[in-house]
Amino acid sequence: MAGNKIKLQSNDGDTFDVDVEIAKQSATIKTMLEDLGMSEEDDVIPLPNVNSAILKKVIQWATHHKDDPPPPEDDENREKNLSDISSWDQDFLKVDQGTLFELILAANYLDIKGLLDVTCKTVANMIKGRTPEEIRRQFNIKNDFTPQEEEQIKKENEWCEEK
Amino acid sequence: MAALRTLFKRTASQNSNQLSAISINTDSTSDSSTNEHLNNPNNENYSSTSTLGVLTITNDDSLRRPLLRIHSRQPKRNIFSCFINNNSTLMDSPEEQVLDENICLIDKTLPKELLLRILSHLDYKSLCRCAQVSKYWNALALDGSNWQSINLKSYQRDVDGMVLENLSRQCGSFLKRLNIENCKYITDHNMRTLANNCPNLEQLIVKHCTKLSNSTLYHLSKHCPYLKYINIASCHHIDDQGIKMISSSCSDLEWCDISWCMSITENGIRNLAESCPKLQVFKAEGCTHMTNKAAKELAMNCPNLSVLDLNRCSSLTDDGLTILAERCISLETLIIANCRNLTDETL
Repeated sequence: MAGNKIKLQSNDGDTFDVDVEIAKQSATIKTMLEDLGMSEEDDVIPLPNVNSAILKKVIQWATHHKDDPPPPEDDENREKNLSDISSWDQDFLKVDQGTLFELILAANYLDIKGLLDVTCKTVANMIKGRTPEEIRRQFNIKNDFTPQEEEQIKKENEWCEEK
Repeated sequence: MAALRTLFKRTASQNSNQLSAISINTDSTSDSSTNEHLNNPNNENYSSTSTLGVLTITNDDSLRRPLLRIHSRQPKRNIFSCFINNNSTLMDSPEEQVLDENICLIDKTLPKELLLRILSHLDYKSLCRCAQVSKYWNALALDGSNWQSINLKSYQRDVDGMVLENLSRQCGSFLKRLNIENCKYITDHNMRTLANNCPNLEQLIVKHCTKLSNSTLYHLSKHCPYLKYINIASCHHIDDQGIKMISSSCSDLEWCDISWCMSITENGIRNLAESCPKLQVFKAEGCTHMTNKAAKELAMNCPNLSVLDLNRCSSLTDDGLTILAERCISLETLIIANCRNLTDETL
């Protein structure tokens, strides 16, 4: 099994040779391979939702994480921990917001839970500890509340602020 | 003539030099292109468009968006698609981006379920701040899926009835676990609103919510049939009547703490034991009415009991303990500290 490669094709036509075992971190690709029996070398898996810049990043991530244990299942009771991002991932995700969001879309489409978790946590870290106005600035969000609405919403949500 | 021909040749070769320069350009503008695309004979978009290579990427949006079901909300998509693919040199750090004032990438790029996934990593405080950002973010932050499990213990001083009622409206049927330990402002009326709004409640901790009475248990019993875990410790106003109501309608109860509820007598405990055979954990610290008769009822009806906390149950004697020991074979933890009437015989 070792050394087997498959070809992944981005939506802009680029083809990447990837180890099967690395590609299988994507549950979507794993299903394609196993259910459709796509295993021969000539087969090209088209990924119409991912462009080549993003696909290249995703492959880079999956290659680095190829020996990771499978990520834990989602658990409603899990501790909310935003500080457990490895320093490699932190460096890897030092990208502009557009790329980060495209990576989230790709991780979701390809169903790579580890990458989806770490990218979502990275965005969550951009929110945590900031005031509403700072969050708006961070993401260019327009405040569409009227002053009265804003006052009301503020009152309703101030219970969790330390006094 | 010959000179002219040479000139011609030179221009031609200059042209071809320029051409090759352009094709190199293609590589660097579409920063991703890598070597792979050179091996790909089908890659016509790239080679024919040179600096426009980026635009070919946006053409594919029609392919990718429908799958994500958000294409209709994205008229400006093409513009920032160029941004995304072109920007790795322009914008190095997320903090220092200079984006078009009118473009909010996060809202336009990510569909609601992925935004919710991001918010699912945040604590209450961050969520409450997100709720103040914009109308869309208000709906996202207060979406019930973020609030399936609420623990307000550390906010006890600030949690008044309105906070709880607002939360219960937002969470609705999503809410499964609620801990409002020590939130002393909470009243029966607030709990009524909660029970009305949150029918799927499974776990409730109202320890030290001293204003609560039987009325709370009445509304819970009417609206929350899935309750498995209830802690009403130190709610002094609750008596047998409340226990009877809750145990008769929530027969799946597995975990019950009535510590220091001094008004609950052996009758209430009997009702609980009879109606809730799945009971695994029962805590009645300091309940002076936890008598031998009550112990017998528990022993006869609740074979799954694994944890029993009878600390300071001064009415209990050897007889009660013996029958518990005989019947409850799953018992793992038994706390009988400060039970003055027990002798060595029990052990």
